[in-house]
Amino acid sequence: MSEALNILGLKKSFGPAEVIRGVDLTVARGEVHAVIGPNGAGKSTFFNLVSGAFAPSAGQVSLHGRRIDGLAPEKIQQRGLARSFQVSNVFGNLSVFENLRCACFKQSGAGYAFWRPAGSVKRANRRAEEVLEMIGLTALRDSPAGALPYASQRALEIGMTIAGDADVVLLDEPTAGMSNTETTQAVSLIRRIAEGHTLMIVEHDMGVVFELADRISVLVYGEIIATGTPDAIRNDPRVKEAYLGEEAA
Amino acid sequence: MNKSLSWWRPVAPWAISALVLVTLPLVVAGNGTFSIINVVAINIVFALSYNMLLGQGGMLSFGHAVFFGLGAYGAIHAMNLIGEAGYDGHGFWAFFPVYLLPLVGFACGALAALVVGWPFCRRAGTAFAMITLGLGELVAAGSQMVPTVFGGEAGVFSNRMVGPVWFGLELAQPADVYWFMAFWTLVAVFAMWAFTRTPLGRMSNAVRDNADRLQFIGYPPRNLRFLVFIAAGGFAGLGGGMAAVNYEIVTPESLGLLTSGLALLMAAVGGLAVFYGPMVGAILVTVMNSLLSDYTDASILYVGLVFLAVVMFAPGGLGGGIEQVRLAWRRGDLGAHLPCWLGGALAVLLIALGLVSTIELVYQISHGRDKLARLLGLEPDPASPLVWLGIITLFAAGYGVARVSGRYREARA
Repeated sequence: MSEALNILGLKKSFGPAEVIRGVDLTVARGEVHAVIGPNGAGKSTFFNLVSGAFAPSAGQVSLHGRRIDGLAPEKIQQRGLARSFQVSNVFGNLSVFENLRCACFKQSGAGYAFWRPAGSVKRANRRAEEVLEMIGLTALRDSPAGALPYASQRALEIGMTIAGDADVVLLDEPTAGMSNTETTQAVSLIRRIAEGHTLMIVEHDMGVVFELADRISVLVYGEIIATGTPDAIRNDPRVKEAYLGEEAA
Repeated sequence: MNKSLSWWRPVAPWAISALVLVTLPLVVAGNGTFSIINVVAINIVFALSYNMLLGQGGMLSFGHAVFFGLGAYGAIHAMNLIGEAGYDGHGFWAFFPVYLLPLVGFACGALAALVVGWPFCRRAGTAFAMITLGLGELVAAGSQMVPTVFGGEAGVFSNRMVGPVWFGLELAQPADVYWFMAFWTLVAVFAMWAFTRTPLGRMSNAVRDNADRLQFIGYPPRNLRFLVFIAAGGFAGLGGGMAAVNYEIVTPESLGLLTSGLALLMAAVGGLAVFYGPMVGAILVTVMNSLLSDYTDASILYVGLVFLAVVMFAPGGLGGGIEQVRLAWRRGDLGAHLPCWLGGALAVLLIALGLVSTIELVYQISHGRDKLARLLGLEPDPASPLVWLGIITLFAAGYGVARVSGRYREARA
């Protein structure tokens, strides 16, 4: 099993508070790996460390065998790891299509180009159309992203994350705040993304997690207390105690 | 019908602009008028270049005049070189026509931005505003220390009637300079518009909207800000080059905070979110600045009040207003909105009339004269209660109309 992401002894302190206390985790290529845990367990911080939003205090993160810890987010993105955000984080005044196209410029190396129209960057335009279709926002192509309904904005958020052709994708609570129907749609979108991508997902909705994940890691108080298949996790006594407690009892 | 017109849509603004530029000299006459038009042209380029930073890139600069001024200085020194080279007739500058001096301005502005810009572009927002404010004051003050380059308080003089002449186009009178201005304004506006359509232009909007997210799609915001900063500096310098040719003198004032403030004023009054907004602002503010002082002693106060009113009541600026009307027209519900908007406009007009009357009367009391009233053939007596009653009536009517149209809007919603 080849590794897409290898995390070793990852730690992060904010002042005296140690939020991530030595995480070891391996994500295999092509797998859907869910990270679950109670509120305040450090899931978002963990994502921020892996994606470069924060620099870790100690430990290493390797993407396809190359160290990426401490790199700037744009460098990590260029190496092939992209992430979405828990709170929608789009370019509010730009149209849906423009949001996607901006996310595609990096592959064509065109983001700094001032000598050609954006429409002439064929690859970025084609890819943006493709993703637009995939996330089902074709009808809202020209609406400003800031004015989209919540679920559509979430879909755009995911679209922008995958548009850049990163092979490892981190999704931070992709279905948070969605209705049942919207969640179903989001899950089918994520399932489509999972083909050809390595996915790491933070998610609260256990239904979604057990439906999508190949493996699950449980993060409690900054430590991974268990990693395994959904069945193994469901039956793990430590997990039951620490996290699924009330539900499983 | 829409289909058959589709080829015309993107061309229309340019065709109409070109038509206006060509017909303008047939309609207006007199060197005074052309002088104002020429300043409008300079300010259009300056204000648009400023909006590359603020409106498009989300960078609030208080030091944009530095690049305008350095462009102007570069151009005027080049003009002097052309003049000197004209005596012996050889060398590079002997063959450089004055018409191309805005290119020198562009190069100087862009180069200056390239040299100083990198440390500024790390952050947008308040930090950027403060640093550019510091830069502006630093350069303006520092220019006094190098009189050989900046000419001290008096500035640097030159003469534009030098160098090779193409097609017999001498730049003697303001009416001759008009064609030079028309050409460069059209070129600069088109280039800046085209810039917004490039990947870099779009990415600069993305930096403005959400710089943090940009990192996660692979671009450091600082690089993008820096490139936009250089481009904006270049176009400001181009405007400076136009100004050098127009005035034949460049003073250190052109580098200072007042000039930077003018750019902000024009862009904000015209509207930051619409490409042509700053052009509208440049036209309005320049014309107000040039003409108003002939009619009233309070001209500067009025410019300030217009700025205040726009910022408070129409944050989208005049361009934003025009765009609203245009969109409503295209959607086909202009008729529904019109009563409201006309009511609002009437209210603004009434209140403005009241304000103007008050200000002019106060000036009459404190200075003993009132240009505006005399020009209109009125002789209001500030001691008469009737006059003040009239003013109060204006305010009350304006307020009333505003209330009624506001209620109408609520009723429709």
